[in-house]
Amino acid sequence: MSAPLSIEEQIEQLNKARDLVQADPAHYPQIVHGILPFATRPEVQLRRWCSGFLCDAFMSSGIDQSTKKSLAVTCLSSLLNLLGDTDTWVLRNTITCSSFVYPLIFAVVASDGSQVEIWNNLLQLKSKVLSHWESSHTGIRASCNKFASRLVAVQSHGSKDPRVAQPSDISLSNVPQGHPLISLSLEAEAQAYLDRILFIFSEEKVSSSLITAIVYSLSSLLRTRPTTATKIINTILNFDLTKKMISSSDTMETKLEYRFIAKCLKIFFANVLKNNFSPKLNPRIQKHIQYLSNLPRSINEAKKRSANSEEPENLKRQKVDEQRQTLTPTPALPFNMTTDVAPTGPISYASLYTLINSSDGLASFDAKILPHNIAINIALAGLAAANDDTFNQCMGVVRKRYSNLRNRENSNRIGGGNDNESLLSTPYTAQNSISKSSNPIPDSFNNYKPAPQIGSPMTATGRAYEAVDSSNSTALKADFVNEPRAEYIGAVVDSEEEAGNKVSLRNVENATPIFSLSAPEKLSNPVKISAFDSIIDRIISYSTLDPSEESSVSIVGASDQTPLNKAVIEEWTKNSWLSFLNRALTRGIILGPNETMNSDTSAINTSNSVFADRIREKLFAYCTDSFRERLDVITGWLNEEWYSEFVLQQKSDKTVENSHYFKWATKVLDNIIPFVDNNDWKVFIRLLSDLPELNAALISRLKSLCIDPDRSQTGIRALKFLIMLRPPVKESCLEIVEDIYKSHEDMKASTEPLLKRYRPSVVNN
Amino acid sequence: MTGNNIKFCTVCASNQNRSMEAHKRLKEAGFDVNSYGTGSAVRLPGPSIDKPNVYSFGTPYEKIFAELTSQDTRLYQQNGLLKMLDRNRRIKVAPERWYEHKLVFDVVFTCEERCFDAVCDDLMNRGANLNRLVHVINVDIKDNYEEALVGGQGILELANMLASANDLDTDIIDILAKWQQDHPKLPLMHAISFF
Repeated sequence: MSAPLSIEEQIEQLNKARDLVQADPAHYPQIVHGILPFATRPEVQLRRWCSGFLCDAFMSSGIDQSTKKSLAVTCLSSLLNLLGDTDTWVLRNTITCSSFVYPLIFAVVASDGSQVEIWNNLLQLKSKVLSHWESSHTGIRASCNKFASRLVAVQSHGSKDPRVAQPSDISLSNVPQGHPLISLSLEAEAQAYLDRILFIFSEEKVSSSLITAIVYSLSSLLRTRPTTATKIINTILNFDLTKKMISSSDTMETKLEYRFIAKCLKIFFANVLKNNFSPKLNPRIQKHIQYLSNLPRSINEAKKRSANSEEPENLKRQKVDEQRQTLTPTPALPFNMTTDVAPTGPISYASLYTLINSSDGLASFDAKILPHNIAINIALAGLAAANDDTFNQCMGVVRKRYSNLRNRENSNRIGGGNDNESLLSTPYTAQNSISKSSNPIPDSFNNYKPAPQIGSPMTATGRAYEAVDSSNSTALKADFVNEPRAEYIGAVVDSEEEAGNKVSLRNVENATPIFSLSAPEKLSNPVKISAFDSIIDRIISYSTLDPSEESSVSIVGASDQTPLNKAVIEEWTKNSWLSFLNRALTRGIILGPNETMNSDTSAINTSNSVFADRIREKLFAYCTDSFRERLDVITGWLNEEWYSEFVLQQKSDKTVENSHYFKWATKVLDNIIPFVDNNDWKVFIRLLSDLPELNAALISRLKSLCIDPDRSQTGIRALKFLIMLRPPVKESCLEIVEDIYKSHEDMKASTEPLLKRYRPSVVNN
Repeated sequence: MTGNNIKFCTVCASNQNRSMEAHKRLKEAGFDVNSYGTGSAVRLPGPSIDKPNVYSFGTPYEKIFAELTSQDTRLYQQNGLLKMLDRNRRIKVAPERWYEHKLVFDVVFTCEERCFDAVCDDLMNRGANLNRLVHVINVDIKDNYEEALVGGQGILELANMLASANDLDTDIIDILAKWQQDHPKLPLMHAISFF
């Protein structure tokens, strides 16, 4: 009697059996039967091997569906046994195997309602697998989620269209009505499983391994059960990674998990978008992908950012209110309010207006480095939030400083002093002789009026802030010292008058209060072109805006619905601004002035063609930057060019040299073709079909595409399309096909069918 | 799947440089490994930047080696292409395309984020019908000979750590974090997906 084999020897023998089925999968049923007793063996290595082998058997593409069904029934009790195992590998393999077995046995029972025992075992299998759903082992949990997503697929209705439904897709649709065992209420159970799978997205603490596993397992449900798509996508869209807790501390694990989840979501949504699983949600998904791309790089950064930006509005308001309350009774003045003495030395507005102590760090901050718009916003926000009393007090201090300065200047001047260096020594002083001593605050601060619009007559009084100091009745200097002097004729006060400090407001008003703006210099051509460029850039940049953000969306007056008379813009869309640009190019700049202005026509023509070419270059750069997404812009533009040239202007020259349309269509094709790959064949053919006119020169561009082994399929498809559907270029296309056939040996197979059909003589020779 | 039973796979764009270096390291260490490329074709540097040598997947390394040798031995020796192809032809016959294989793996190492995206996207497109859990790990390696050596070594170290884990699925984040700390210049990405 031979000694019993060791575990290693037994596994070696089992591996031989595995080699056998790998060589010929037909042996699977026989070997599965043979290895099932190992599922109950006490040695964990054997149970691991057995569970792994069962997985391989069901994964094998070498055995058909009906064989798998009978194998599933055979394995069911062994799987039930293995699901009670304590080894994590055995369990993971068995749950994976159960994901295969469940639909198979479900199909068996669906077609034979008498299989009560099998059905009960299957229910037992389901509950045993699901009992591991909350396991601490990530692999087992992930596999349970995958199993549950399988349950959702099986226990809901699949496609009823026999053309779409696959025989391997098992669902409630396979269950005949009135089935004695399978109740249609299983569909509700499936919804509950789906909710449970999706619950992870609302949990406070998340794990990247589980989130990624669930996201990727759900993607298969989107494909097979489109009815679940909206729910799944919405739940994942609402999942805000920045608000989740990944780990308690800022460890490398946290950083990595955060990055992994963000990436997974991006890939998932890109796939959803590509497959168009839920068209209605596409705009939201697009925005979400953009949001995910701009996500902070770590969870901590995200939390900091959200703490800053998402502080509840009412909390902010509360803070402002609190600040006001504390300010009103006892105004806290962090200002250097004691110095109403005018600053000495070189004077600037900063030194006049600064109210903070020079020791304050803020005093050394140069506000000029702030961009204008930000500075304006800060100033506006500051004014809006300022306490009235504090503001008035501050202005009082500034006003006193100013008055003191004026007095000092005047006395200096009378005494022969020269203060010309001072920024404030300007002749635009308008002094109001009317004293309003009862009001401590100058009227100008309370009744500020905006400056008149450019072009309207402007008076000195309309521009100057007349202000009276209650204490010394001296005038506050006007605020427009930096304005070009010649533009304020009425405000000019000669230095003698100023020296005498006698110019009253009434006098100023009596002086001719007419504002005239001198004619601007004519713009030079380079300035015009650069301004024009910036206009085009701005128009093009509008095409990235969401149309809903624009104020006017509906276009009125598009009543004529005959296709040729339809307005080019009937509804405001993303590309409407580009349509404007096209029309400006092809109807405005090119046609307009030539017809109305006879003199100097050639000069106008030259300058117009420069502008038109600027637009063309910008459009060209914009279109070719991302031609797949901007195909409509390309065809829109080139069609307008063609229409303008050959219909409106009735040009007869149709060569690349003489025609803008052919010149730019060639440029576009030359630029696009090197980037076209096999996935782009639809886009590319659409482009060719939408171009209004093609000639042999344009068609010849396709040759490079056809002879590239990697992309020839797209080139040949395009040529075939043109041969069949664009008769004017049929011969040119066939010339190219023939040329390729004759000169490229490896392209013979792909060009031959076309030639056989259209030029059989070439092939026969 | 325990220890040395883990089935590995390495993926780069052309299945020439990075994935093949990692393939070599893992194979020499005794792991079960395959390698693939996710590109549409095998692209190798040519005489100028706009004239790459393009081959379809499945063209034997031997054949590419012979062709490039006859084209310009000096150039391709100088830029290391012949050395790389010589290495590759000793590992397997021809570059293989990720999308065309039907095998399953426990761990897929990609060598570039683009390839990681492509693998994850493809696994979704396949429909996850095999229910088989797979760890997809990206180790971002620059596509040159020197970086491929460093990256290959890094992948081998990571594979050793994964193979010696008691519970790979649960411990993987800790393992990746530890590895990332040791290799800060090779950024990691990971996801659990299904075949």
